[in-house]
Amino acid sequence: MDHVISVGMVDVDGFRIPLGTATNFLVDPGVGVGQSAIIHQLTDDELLAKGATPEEALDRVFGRLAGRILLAHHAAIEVGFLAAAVKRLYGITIEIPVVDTLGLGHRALGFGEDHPRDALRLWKLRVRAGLPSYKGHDAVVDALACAELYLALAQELDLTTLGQAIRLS
Amino acid sequence: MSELAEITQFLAAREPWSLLSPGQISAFAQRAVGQYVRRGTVVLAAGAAPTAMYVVRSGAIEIVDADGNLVDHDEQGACFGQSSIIEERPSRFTFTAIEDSLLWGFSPETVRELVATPEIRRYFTEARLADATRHVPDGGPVLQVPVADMVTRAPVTITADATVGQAAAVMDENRISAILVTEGDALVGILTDRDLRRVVAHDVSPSSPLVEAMSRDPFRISHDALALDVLLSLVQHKIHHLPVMDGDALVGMVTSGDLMRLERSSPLYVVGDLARQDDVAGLARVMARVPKLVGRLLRQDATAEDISRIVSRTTEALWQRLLDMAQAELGAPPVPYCWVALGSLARNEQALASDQDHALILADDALPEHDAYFSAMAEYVTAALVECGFPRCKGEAMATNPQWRKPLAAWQREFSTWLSAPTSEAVLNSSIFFDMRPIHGDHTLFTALQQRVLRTAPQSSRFLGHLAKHANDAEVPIGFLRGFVVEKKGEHRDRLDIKLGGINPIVDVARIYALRWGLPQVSTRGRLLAAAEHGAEVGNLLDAHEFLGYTRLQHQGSQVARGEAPHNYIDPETLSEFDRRHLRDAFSIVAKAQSALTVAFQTQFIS
Repeated sequence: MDHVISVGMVDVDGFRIPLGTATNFLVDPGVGVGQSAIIHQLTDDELLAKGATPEEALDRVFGRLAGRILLAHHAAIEVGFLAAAVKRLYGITIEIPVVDTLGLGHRALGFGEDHPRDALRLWKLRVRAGLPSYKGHDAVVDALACAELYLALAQELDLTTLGQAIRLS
Repeated sequence: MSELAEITQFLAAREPWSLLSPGQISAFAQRAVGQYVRRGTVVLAAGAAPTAMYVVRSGAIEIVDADGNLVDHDEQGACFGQSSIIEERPSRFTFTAIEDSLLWGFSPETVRELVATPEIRRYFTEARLADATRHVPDGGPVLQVPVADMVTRAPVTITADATVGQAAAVMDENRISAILVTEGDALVGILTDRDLRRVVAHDVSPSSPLVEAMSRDPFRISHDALALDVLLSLVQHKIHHLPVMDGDALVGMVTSGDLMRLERSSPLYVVGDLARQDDVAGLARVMARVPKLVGRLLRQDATAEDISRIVSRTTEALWQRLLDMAQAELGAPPVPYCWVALGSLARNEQALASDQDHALILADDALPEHDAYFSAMAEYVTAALVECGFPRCKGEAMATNPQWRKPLAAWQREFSTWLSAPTSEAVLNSSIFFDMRPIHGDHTLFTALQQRVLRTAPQSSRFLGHLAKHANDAEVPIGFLRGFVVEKKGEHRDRLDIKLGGINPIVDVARIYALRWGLPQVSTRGRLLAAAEHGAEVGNLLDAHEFLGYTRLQHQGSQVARGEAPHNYIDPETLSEFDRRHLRDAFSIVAKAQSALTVAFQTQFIS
């Protein structure tokens, strides 16, 4: 089973991204993280030393989400992690409303048409929107990348309200 | 760990942020607000108060002044809006996204904190001063030039005890139109061409004293006056020469010609400058100014027709100078010749990014052994043109090709063959060789050829039919639902060739009209107007030609402004909705004219 070992978040207010809201923290899942740690250049020791407990992590995420909608690329992953963690820790099933940039991107490219397999990936869609490529690969860069893509897609699809974004994604 | 490493690194690599410590940069980065603007969005309009300073993270911003002149482009990393915030005044420029752009906005309070650092304040102020000077259009306020800068040589003087003849000899030797007369160190008079005219008219002896012929105590101007003062003095006193003084010391002379020459990018000046060059390198330097000249003419709202005429005229002057230089090197030609331009230069329709097309018509008494001379001439001119930025013609339609360097009679036979037995090669050649104009040498050779062709062409219905069919082959780049058809791959992907798909078909139609009715005009506009007198419907076509030509020049002008090599490929997405609509209209006019030709010449029955 995969574990969440780092969380990156940034706010989107309307169609603006206050960069100061960008946050990044590590999570200690309580088990050795093995291979995936290498990818993220994190070690068990680091996670042990600095990582939040899963409970703390959930509190921080839901604290930020209060009054907001979750925005993610291929949001099923995030929603799955969050719902599973809530279920595990508190034994309840929750619904998390989301805006998914993958869905918006698919709509912008045209639903009916054939697209190359990777056309809907975050980085590919960003290139099409003229957004810069980022060198770093950590959770907060991914969050920022997704937020910027959302601004671009909102323009492309003439979105004016969040409700539209939820319906169309 | 810094949450914003990506942003901090981007800023740290650029001025003015690099003047701050990493900690400070990181703190400012926290206060940025990301925004995404579509191409075409006005981010800050001239006259509006900016609500933020923006850093261009990706994309590009076009800066236009209140009169609509393109001032500059801001690319990745540039800042804008800060000057108005610092000085608490409305923006002088309009900033428009010309690509989809990601911007980072900083609030006015943040900007004020930023410029509390003296180095940053200095950076923004100096950048603005550099802007202010950069925004002076080429040759800009020329009348603000100090007189001292206009003086190009030490004054040529002669003492007051000389004779009229001696003064005239010194003027002739120095190729000047006026000479200053001195007594000791003091300026006492001036003798000009006009005074000498009077001397000759009244039959005054050259040995008479200079002081009797000169104007005493001439008007003079201080070396720290401005060109504007020179202009006013010259006009007021109805004179053409002004001695320039530093106190009592004579430092030079300025003339009405110097004033005109100040206008450095004026087309007259470029043509005049070409005539003064003695080597190819000098000519290439002068020709390098032409793209900027086009930009200036576009800003002055000249028509495409006028601009291409000026560009063509400049190229023509270059060719003429090169042929003079070739002749100086090779000696007098063994027989008369006429050097002719083909294609766009012949039609006076040159834009930027042209190659060279030319041919040589020799007098009929040319002998085979004379060819070495003309071959050398052609090689000389062609190589020099390459150096001046005109690539060789890919189809080898150049005088270096022996096929296109021959006596008049051979040319006449060539054209007769094309007209009477049209092959696809003949039709192809016709698009180049039927647009011909004499540039240098004996123009009667050209006239003789042209008259013969214009007499024969209207009767050559099979040839005209082939021509009409060929004109119809050119595909206008609009498709179903009037969408643009753009290149699918390669270097120019997603762009369309405005010349191949739009301008050339109109040129082809005009040429067919000219040949059908034996019209002597060579320019497309001239041909269409003349064809109208024979009943052709040309109104829309004239408009479409001007619009497509203008769009192309504008595209090339902005390419030059961005430091790119100009070409004919346009991305329709970069045009405004208004221009895109016009472009579609222009293309459909071209397509209609093509099908009208089909009907007129019954092309469907040929081959």
